[in-house]
Formats: sequence, structure tokens, C-alpha cells
Amino acid sequence: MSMNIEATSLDHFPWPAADGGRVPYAVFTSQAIFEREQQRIYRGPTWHFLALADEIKNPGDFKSTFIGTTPVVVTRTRDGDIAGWVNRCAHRGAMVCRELRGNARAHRCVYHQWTYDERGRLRGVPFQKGLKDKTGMPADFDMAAHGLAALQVHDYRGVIFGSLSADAPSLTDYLGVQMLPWLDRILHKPLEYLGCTRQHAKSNWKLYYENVKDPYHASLLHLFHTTFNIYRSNMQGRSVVDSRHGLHSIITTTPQADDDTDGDYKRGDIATYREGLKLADPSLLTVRKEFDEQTSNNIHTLFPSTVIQQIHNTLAVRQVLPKSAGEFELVFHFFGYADDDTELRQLRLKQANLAGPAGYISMEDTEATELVQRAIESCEVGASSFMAMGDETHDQGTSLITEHMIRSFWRGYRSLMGWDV
Amino acid sequence: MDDMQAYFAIERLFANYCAALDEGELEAWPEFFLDDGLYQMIARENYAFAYPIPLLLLDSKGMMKDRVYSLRNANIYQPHRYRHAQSGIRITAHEGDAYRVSSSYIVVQTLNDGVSEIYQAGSYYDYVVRTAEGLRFKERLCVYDTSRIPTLLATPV
Repeated sequence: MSMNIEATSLDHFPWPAADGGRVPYAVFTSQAIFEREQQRIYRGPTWHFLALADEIKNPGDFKSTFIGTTPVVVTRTRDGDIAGWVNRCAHRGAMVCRELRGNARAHRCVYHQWTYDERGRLRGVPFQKGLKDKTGMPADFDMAAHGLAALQVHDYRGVIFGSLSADAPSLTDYLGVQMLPWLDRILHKPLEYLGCTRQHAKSNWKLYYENVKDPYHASLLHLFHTTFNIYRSNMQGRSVVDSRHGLHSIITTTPQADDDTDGDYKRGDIATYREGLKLADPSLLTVRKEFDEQTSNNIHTLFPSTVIQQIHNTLAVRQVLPKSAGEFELVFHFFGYADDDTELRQLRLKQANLAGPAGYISMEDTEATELVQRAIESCEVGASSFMAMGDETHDQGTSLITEHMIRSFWRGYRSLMGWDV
Repeated sequence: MDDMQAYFAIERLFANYCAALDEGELEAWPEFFLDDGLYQMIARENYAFAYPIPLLLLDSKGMMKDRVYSLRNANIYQPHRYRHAQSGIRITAHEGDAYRVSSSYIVVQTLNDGVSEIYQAGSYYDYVVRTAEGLRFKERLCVYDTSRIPTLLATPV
């Protein structure tokens, strides 16, 4: 079933161009490519969102999730630090933790009751010494050598990342000096977890990664923007990639000083492109200023599975969980700040209407990725996309009508997967 | 109203509500609520742990009308038909002509390919009040068990 592609067989997936602007559709549909991604990217030297620290604040708290297709658990230890392990019993491979979240000092596999502590260390094996005159485990059985596979974990300003690879660089090196200030901007005070919404898309996870690196679609696919005049052409934009490899990126939009959008929101008489159209209740679009530069959109893509979102006053970490070549799960983990006043907290809850599986300006994203997946499931060898919008040499990270971040992503991806060796 | 009259009046409200959504009469949907009514959808996994984030939170009839307008004119999603099945209607408390009611629902969704799938299962927790026009929702809280939403949610349940 699981198929490892040798380097030579990557030749079966020809790229019409190496610049990332022509992507062979087969990379979205091939299960062999999917398995190779799990091996080289998801189980490779990458970092992934696991939880907010606030989700596991008390000793013994745990949360189960995934890195790619690998089930993992992150815990708060009795010493107050964090630990993570692969949720697969060291004995026969059964899933040990079967709850989404909870509190436990010990994690016991139900199959043969092998028991682990919150760090994943093996603490008990039933009948280890045998029973009466019958033998048990071999005399040289060493519990310390049979714990759950440990993750690297790092709590960065209240957001817990994990890696399945011991070879991953430090988290801060991985995120890099270009991206960290954008993360620091959002994570500038203690966070409070508000819950999550999940959706399942019948499409490849990379179609979603293209989507969150694609400001070109924003005002064209998401018509709520233009219908209610949220997105304006005179917004100042940023579209910046991590120049080391092109895999992380940040998109921001900021209303210009001469743009009266904020005032419009407050007055509730939003001009529209349709004569006479107004929101009956504009409270949804109230904005509370909480950053020096009050971006209306901040979509920060951290390869390969994490997207930090600030849209008006909604804050969320989007977690991408590939399930197979043709499906992924998308989880929006919403948060606020611990010092939110009641009014601001209520505003964050109300603005959850904007982004999420039912969000006014996000519901079309998985619709679009599914439209692509359905159309490319069967196509001729070598068929590819075409993405040429925006000349980054000229635009210098200031254009929102651009596909340069997607092209950069694909160049980085090609390198990780071994096409450019 | 005595208990039996109340039960039948509530049951009729629910039947009309389901019929409006199942027939695609979205414009009728906000009219089941008071002007300051609340419609909220929240995943069971959040509700169970007292995490407040909703899927939808519409705290006025105006917001509900905006949702309908946006679905009709702005948002892009597959043509779909809902079919509600509602059961286990229980009046859990009442004071005068105001009732707390809980019930279960299943929504089957059919797309243009002709395939019907269970789209969502959950509970309604309602606060129903009497008005001159009949019973209306002061609150309808949908706690949905199907926390992993297939593709997206456009139409309220």
C-alpha cells in the first residue's frame, strides 16, 4: 500500500517549468506523492502547530491531535512543562489516548494495559514478572527503552509547536527572522483559547496552501468583501515570503489613512457597490484597534501546516491536517487575549461569523479547492496549472494582485521533495 | 396554555421552521425569531468544555437577514437541499408563555449529484416565547455533534 518513490521515479511527475508557476496536477492526486510528503515533510525536519498553551494549562492536561497523518498527544507535565509523543503504543501499535482532551496522570493502552506517564515514559507492563511459575517478559526487558516516541515540542509565546524529527532546527531558526516579528505582533500578550471549528475538504492540502498564499482571489472569490465593501482597492498590502526557501509567507492588508473604512464601520452606513445596500446589522464589522498597525487581514502561513489569522478582531491558528491525497481537515483554533474586556471578547465571538467553515469570507475557500480537485482527478500526464500574476522584482512585496508567494512555495516544495537534487 | 396545547404549538413552530429551510425559503427563516432574537451554532466539543467560540452567532433579526442576503447574493457554495428530522421534543422549563425546549435533529443534505448524506446531527436548545403573531424563538442554540463539517456550512440548520 504505502509506496516509497525512489528519486528516479519522480521523473514520472514532470514539471513544465521549475519556477513554480506551472504545477503538475498529479502532485494533488497521487497517493505516492502524498506518502512521500508524509515522509519528507510531515515526519521530516518541520514544525507544526499542536495547541495553545492555554489548552493544557494544568498539570496532567492533555490534547490529542495530528502531525500530518501521525496521531500525537501534547501534555502538561506534573513539573509544569510540556511534552509530546506519538499516540501509538510501543507494544503493538494501538492508539493509547482516545480522548480529544482531558486530564490524566497516566495514559493506559486499553489493549494490554501498558501504562505511560504524561511524558510518554513506560511505567507499567501487566504480568511483566509472569504469573506464579509462568515467565513474563525477558529478564533484560528495559522499560526505559520502550516509551512512546517523543516529539520535539516548543511553547512559543503561548503557541505550542511540535516536530516528529530530531533533526529539525530550533523552532525560532525554523520560523526565521523575517517571519518572527509577525508572529510576535499577534502573540504580544497572554492568550486565551476560545475553542475550535473544523471542516473536511475533499481536496489536497496543498490546494489550501496555495489558497492562503493567494491574495489575488480575495476580492474575486469572496464576494462578501465587495458586496458589503470590506475590501478596498486602496488598502495597503504586503505579500512577503521567507527568502531562505519561499515556504513561509505573510499577507496583510491595512486600510489607508485616507480610507474612511473604520469610520464607516463605526457609523454603520457602509457604502456599497450596490446602490442602497446596507447591512441591516453592521455590528459584525465593528473594529476595535488593538495593534499599532491595525491590519484588517493578516494571513501568516508557516509551512507546512500552520496559518496564523487576524481578520479584524478575530484571532485564530488554522491547522491543516492532510488525510489522503484527496482530502484534508482544516481546524480553526480561535483565541483572544487573557485581558480582553467583555465587549472585546463578545466582538471576537461575533466576528467568528467571518472566518471558519461557515465564515462569510472563508466558506468559499474549500469550495474552490474542491472544484479544482474534482476537475483534475483525471487528466493527461503533464497537465499543469499556470500562475504568472505579479512581477516580484518590480512589486517588492507590496502587491495583492500577485501569485509570487505561490510560486515561491512550489520552488521550496520541489526542493524538499527532491525534484531539484 | 395547558401542557398539551403548548406542546402542539411548539411542535408546529418547529415543523414550520424545518419546512422553510428544507424548501429553501431562506427569507422566511429570520421571521421565526424576535427582533432581538439569538441564533447560535456551536460544536458539541466546544460546548462540552465551555469554550465559547460559535460557528455562527447572529444576535439580531437584522444579522439573520444579512446572512440570508449574503447567501443569496455574495457567497459561493454548491446548490444543496436540507431535509430535517427532528425528534425528542421536551419542554424542560416554562414560565407563563415562555418555554425552554430541547430536541434532537438530523439534517440530511442532498447535492446536485443526487447523493444524500447525513450532514449534521445535534441538539436544539430553544427559548420560545409567545407573541401576537404566535410562538417565536427568543433563542435557538444548535449544538452540533458533527464537529467536522463536510466542506462548508452556508445555510443555517
